Amino acid sequence: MRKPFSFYIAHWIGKLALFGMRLLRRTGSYLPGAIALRIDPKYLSHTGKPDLIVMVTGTNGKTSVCNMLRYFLESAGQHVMDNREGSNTIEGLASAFLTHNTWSGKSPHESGVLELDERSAIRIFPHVQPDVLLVTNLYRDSYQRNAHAEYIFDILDRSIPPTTKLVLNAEDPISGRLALQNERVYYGIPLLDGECEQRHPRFSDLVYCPVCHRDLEIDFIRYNHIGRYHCKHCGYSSPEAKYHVVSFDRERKEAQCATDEEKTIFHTQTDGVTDLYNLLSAAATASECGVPFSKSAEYSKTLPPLKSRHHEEIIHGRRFLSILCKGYNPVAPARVFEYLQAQPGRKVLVMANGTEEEIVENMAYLYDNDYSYLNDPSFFQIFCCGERYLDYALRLRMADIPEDRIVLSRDYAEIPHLIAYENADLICLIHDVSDVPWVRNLLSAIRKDMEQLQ
Amino acid sequence: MKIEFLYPEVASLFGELGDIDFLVRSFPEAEIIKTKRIERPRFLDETIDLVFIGPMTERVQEQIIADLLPEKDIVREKLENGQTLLAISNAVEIFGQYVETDEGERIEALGILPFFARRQMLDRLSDVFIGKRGDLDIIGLKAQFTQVYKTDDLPYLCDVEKGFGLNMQSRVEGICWKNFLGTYLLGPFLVSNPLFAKAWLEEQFPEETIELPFFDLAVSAYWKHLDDIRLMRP
Ligand SMILES: [Zn+2]
Repeated sequence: MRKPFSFYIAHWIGKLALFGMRLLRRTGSYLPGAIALRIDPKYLSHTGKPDLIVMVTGTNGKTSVCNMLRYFLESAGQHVMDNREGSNTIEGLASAFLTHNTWSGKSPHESGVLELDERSAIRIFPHVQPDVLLVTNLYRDSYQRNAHAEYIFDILDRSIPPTTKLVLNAEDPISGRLALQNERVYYGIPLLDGECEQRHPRFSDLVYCPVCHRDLEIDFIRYNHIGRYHCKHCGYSSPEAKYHVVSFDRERKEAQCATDEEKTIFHTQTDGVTDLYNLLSAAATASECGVPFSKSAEYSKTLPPLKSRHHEEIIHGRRFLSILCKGYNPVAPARVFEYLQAQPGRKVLVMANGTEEEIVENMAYLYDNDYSYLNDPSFFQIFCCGERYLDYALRLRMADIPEDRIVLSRDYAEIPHLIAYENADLICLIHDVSDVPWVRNLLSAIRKDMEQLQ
Repeated sequence: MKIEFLYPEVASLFGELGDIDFLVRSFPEAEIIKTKRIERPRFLDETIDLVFIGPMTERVQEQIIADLLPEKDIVREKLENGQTLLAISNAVEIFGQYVETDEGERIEALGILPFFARRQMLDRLSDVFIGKRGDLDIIGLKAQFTQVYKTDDLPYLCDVEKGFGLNMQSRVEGICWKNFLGTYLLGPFLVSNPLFAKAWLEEQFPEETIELPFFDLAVSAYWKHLDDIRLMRP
């Protein structure tokens, strides 16, 4: 395609803006992309693209999966571009192309792994059509912006290009039914040995048959609406997974996974099923992009740890965990609670979500998340902190958690002084941002206190 | 005392599970009925003291309206005779005249109360909220696709102090008619407004023993929340 003159103006000014921001040491990738799109609204159509474009969208897991997928493709020798530096909206994507493309607007990369904001799909797909699209899952999320799962489903369903191949979660009956006319493969994790079913989730975004809207038979429910179902009225049933887990050795952090042709062992970073979903979906997508499943399994041994999300260390025999977890989400915190409840020993939990600027709107998430996992005597101190400390405390009381296990500390700096380190086997900090001074200070203060203990 | 939660499995999208927990705890003696989407509402055929319905997806809203339309005379009679009913967010619209869609199509609602809603699916409206009802501040969050237009004489819940009202031009929030209370406040509404919840429930059920859960803690959280919303930039 011949590029119009306005494209070159947009590309060069955008690139200059990018350099300018770097000189000023300003982060964030919104502005250069926004400038380019202002000058050439079809900038994304006009700019050069890699031969293969893979996009990853869905409510949870996008960033982790993109990291894994990129690692698999790069390990297989591909030269990959991405948008990890910035946002996953149309402006962020434009900035990514500004960053990676040459001054003449050509893409020097073989493939692109792009994280895509679910709601931005409608603005992006007319200009960039992914060859492969992985949808991790769809839940209710970001109520102010994204409303509900059906709303996001409709946006994606209407805008997915007909040529895009889909990689979908066999246990998500919502995202699993996107763009039904498109070519697709599924990945899935059957109910694992020793895994506890959650037949009565606090909420579910899919209760009735997605086809005939009548009652649905449950084969199993992993959490919320994630599970397998069939309908005795219309014959609907959860799809078969091409890529699936056969068994999961949580202690050794090894998962045996299979396709029709092969069986292979993947190494996981944690013993959680969420991470296993991320890994399996990344490997399935890599396989659809030409990287053999068994190769990804091999690469999983050397996958760099996602340090910022899940950090664990043993300090003088006590476990210290810090977990980065979206606070504005009705599912993610509950998954962490479930994981923590299953851990052995006496626990201290610090819920360090929410700073002053982002205070008021997340109350609804408090009541959608399942706090009953924390109603367990092994959590002998649960800290409610920050500006919403009283709302957190009320939520815990509504989950029948006794008052004497709840510690109120509006001031983050006070928390380390209140932790009963001597009685704890595990101290866990959950935070929804990592790159802010108060989280760093809190982490280092707790670590220092633990190091001083004998 | 009987409380019926209408379709809680699909009509509790934005934290209303908190309101449900709150009501269940407030009336420890009450019979709790959770009516599923595929079941007939119990309040149509028997005396139910309090009916609660929360927000739902637009598709579910249309299905519920279609299911209830043949029963609209019963629903009207119940409300005219003083049925206590609390509707949150787009559940309110079921009881109005119609919902106008993006395409200009009208979905006829039960036609009981004199208001209609206009839905714009690409324009999600959202803001924090403070309103005044007498001396009492009512707080919450609004996030919706619809704007509501009511007749001037239809009573409302509160005057807008911060945020937007029933529509972007309106300075009032909520609809109150006899014992029907409809509001677009999420929050969850009752948990976030323990002082209002206490006043409203005591007015509705003067004979009942009401035990508002963790009332002192809820009130402290409310005052802190109110202060914080006041500090937020408009
Ligand atoms: Zn069916």
